[in-house]
Amino acid sequence: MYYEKVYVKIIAEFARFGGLTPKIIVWDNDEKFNVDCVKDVSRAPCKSGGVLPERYTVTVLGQLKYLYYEKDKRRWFVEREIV
Amino acid sequence: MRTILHSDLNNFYASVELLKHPECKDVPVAVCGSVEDRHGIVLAKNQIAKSFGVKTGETIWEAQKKCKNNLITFTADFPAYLRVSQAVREIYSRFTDHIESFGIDECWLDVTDSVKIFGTGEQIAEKIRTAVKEEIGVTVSIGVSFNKVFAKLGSDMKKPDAITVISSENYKQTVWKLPVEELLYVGKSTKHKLNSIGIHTIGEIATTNPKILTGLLGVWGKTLYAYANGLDTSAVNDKKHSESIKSIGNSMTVYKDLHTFDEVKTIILLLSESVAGRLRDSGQGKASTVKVYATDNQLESYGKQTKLSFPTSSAIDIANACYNLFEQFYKWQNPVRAVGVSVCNFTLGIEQLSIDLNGKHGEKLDRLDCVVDGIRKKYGNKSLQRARILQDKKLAGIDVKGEHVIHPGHSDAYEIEDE
Repeated sequence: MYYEKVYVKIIAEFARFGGLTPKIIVWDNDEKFNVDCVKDVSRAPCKSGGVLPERYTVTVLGQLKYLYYEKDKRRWFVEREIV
Repeated sequence: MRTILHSDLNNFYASVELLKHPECKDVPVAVCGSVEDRHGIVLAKNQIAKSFGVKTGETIWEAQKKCKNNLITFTADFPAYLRVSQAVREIYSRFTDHIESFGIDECWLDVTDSVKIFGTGEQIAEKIRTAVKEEIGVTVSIGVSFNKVFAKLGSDMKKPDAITVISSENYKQTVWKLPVEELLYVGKSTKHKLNSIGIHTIGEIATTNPKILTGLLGVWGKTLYAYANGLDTSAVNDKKHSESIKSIGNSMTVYKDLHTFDEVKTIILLLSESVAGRLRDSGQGKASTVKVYATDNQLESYGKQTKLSFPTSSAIDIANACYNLFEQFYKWQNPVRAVGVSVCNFTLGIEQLSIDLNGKHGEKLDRLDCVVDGIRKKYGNKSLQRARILQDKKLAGIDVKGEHVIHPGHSDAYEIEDE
């Protein structure tokens, strides 16, 4: 089983005293999903390939999801399973 | 008693490439220099390539042959390796601020003062091993001991993703049976010398009269005796200390094999220009020791160093010293593939006045270098070049000083010379 990287548009919030929180995931067809809450932010390797991404553990529609942030390129991605 | 860890990132360059390309984790992988510039040798390989017998330093086609053409190769991505190395170092710094780098993928950590907070050396090593694996996705081997030399030995004993403890109680059983070349800084020539008098294991070094070792290896013999007996007291140089530069060097694999001394001289001059320029930029003053090393096209390395009669920061002085050294040690059994020049023993701006007939000449050279530096700073490193280098268009196009990023270790390149 392999994983594919899918870059997504994110609407995020920069807090007044620091911190970056993703709020809305915008899909390619403009479909929007609210990020209900961010459970954890930690550095963790991803399965689709990448060096030192930041992993946001979030809930979307009640489901636990990983959202990755590439700090150096300032972009976000999710992973899609390829069977 | 101190608690020292030595942490070694396993197959480092290859591991970072596997982070980028997880789909290659079940195939042999090698990281290589650029083929076009003839740096196409294996710099690192993953565990699977290792099991096929792929070795660091061999050419890509040799490695491909061993893997029946199934070897996946990646060109080295040094900026990524530096980022990962920095991230791992941040993990180390959670446990101590006494961290000394040994190349891009190895570090010593003195955790003597941290054991009351974080647990024993072994427990700290375990925390580091887990954090590096879970947060970064690469693995480390850690040696835990009471001095730097044994900690380094420990990290080499079990690989990958492992911890080895060498204590004052067990070092005779674990270390003494190992062959002499496992000991830090014992290269080919020292090994031959020791073997020639019947010393084959570290234990045999430890139990030989130090006077015999000194007779054989000079001052170095005493040091090896201390290392083998666990008496190494050298400190882990923390961040503040590691910022002070110990040596400045550049090396280059040339795009063609060099067959004559004249060709080698051109490369030495090119490298000396860069080394001298970087030395002058570094604020370390002048250098008193010059080293030159060469690798032939069979990948055998040779080298020698010398102490100059006067410290210098001039490219011509460095190059002249290197020409002499090179003529002394290189016997032209094979053509030359790579050359390296480095300087050390810096004056840090404090110079002994000498009754030197060339004093005026030295001053004049310093002034000339100052003008050259000014021009190069303003118009680029290639704006002003020596005629000898301009003769070779390919060489003239290389900006050694501007392009240097990482200097891979040349531990095998030269032996410590008795001075």
